[in-house]
Amino acid sequence: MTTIDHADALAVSDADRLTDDRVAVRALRVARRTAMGVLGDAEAAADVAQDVAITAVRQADSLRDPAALDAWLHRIAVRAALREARRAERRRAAERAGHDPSPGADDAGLDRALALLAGLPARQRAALTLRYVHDLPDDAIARALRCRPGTVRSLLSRGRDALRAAMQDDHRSPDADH
Amino acid sequence: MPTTDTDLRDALAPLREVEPTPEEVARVLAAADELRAPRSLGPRRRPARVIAVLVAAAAVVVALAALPGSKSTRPQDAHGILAAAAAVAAEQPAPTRYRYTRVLDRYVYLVNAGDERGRVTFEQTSENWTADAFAGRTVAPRGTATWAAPPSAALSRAAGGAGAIVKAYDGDFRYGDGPLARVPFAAIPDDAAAAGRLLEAAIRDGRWMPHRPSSPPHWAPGVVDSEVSRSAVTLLALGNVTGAQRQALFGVLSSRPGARSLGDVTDAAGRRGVGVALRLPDFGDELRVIIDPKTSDILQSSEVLPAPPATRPKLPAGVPAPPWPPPAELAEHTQVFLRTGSVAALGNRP
Repeated sequence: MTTIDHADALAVSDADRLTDDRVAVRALRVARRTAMGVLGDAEAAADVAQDVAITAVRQADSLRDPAALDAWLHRIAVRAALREARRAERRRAAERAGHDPSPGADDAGLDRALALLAGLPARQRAALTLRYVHDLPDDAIARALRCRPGTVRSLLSRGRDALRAAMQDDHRSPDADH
Repeated sequence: MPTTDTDLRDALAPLREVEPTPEEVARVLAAADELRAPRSLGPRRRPARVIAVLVAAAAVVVALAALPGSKSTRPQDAHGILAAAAAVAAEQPAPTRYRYTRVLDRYVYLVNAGDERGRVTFEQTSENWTADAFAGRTVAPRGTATWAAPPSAALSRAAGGAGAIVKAYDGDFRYGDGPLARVPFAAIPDDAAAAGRLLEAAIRDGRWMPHRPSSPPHWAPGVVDSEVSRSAVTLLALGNVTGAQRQALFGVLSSRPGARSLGDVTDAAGRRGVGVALRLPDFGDELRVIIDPKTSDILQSSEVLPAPPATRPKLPAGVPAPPWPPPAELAEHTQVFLRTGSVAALGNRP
């Protein structure tokens, strides 16, 4: 079972408590945080999260083990976010032309976190988000990303290096407000 | 704990504070209900759900208020944009006999002639009056053709056929032979779930096609799903429907999977609006719609088509091979709704 150490985590051991609204809240929360990390775009992440949450609410009844809710949500959220990342990449050039830039996340801390992840490959971003935002262990990340734990360790290792390099650049930047 | 990298956890901590809004939760529940109705929409669950949603919403409001930088803004995600438009649509005045629209149609073609490649944009502005079942009139003077670069004679010839699309016209409203050709507008329900189900069923069995087929059409995969989105946008833009029906149609769009926000955008006429991209799973890519958030009017809709395959698709034996790539291939069709309103008689303008 996945370990969740946030105060907001659902207690999902009681099947009767897996109600639609709780699944919706949990799915939106998990999927939006994951999609934000992968996509770096608040609005796109909100849209992915809505799709994931609708799917989750519709299909939660088929979950035989309610305790598996989080692992399932991580899996479908990562898949949806990576799919959207691929689509966004394909569309990026055309979309920028003729459209106003998307507004930022409206939160300097969040903007900075997203900026640190920007430029990393989508799967690296997904692995870093699952580890450092959702606190998942290697094997849970591997299940979400559908790869081997060894691949996760490699993704995380490279991601950590890139993230630390970005953080150092951020500290050196004269605009850094610290 | 799986990690001791506290510096990295701290750096990404703001992502952990992102919380769903009560509106998002409510929209998810409503959309999930719409998509699975009526089979599993048990009345037994509703009261408990409403109470639970309100409790969850209140908790989330408190959490949001505590977040740094939180402030009330217009919704920017696709479902929020469409839900807001639905609410505005419900307040619109009742229509009179005809819906008037002044529309700029823009078709972008990629033209191929031997090794030469060109790009030409055809534009035509029309005035349209539509009553029930898209009966009405269209008046359009001859349109224009604008090349990205001066074309050779071969490219001009290759594009010749496509140019017919903007020839002068004065006649019946040009809806065409699509699945809404004979839709009685009064049949569109005021409820989003019911409207979605009706559109899907009608498109699937062809009941509103010009010559109702004796058996349901054989739709290719994804066509019905795409046509539901296209039809809802068409009805919103050109249909002489009530505010409650418009609200339901925005609800239909809101429940389509894969809707994507384009945020604040400017249409081809320079007007500000909010944009939503709807996924078209048939052969198109996306239907991009710009909405006026103040009136819920559709300002612009664009369909961007994917490029045809680089090599000619395999054809059954005996079928003559067409030239490849095609001499002129439609890359984008945009409709800019320059002026819309409701009028009492043909020829009147709002």
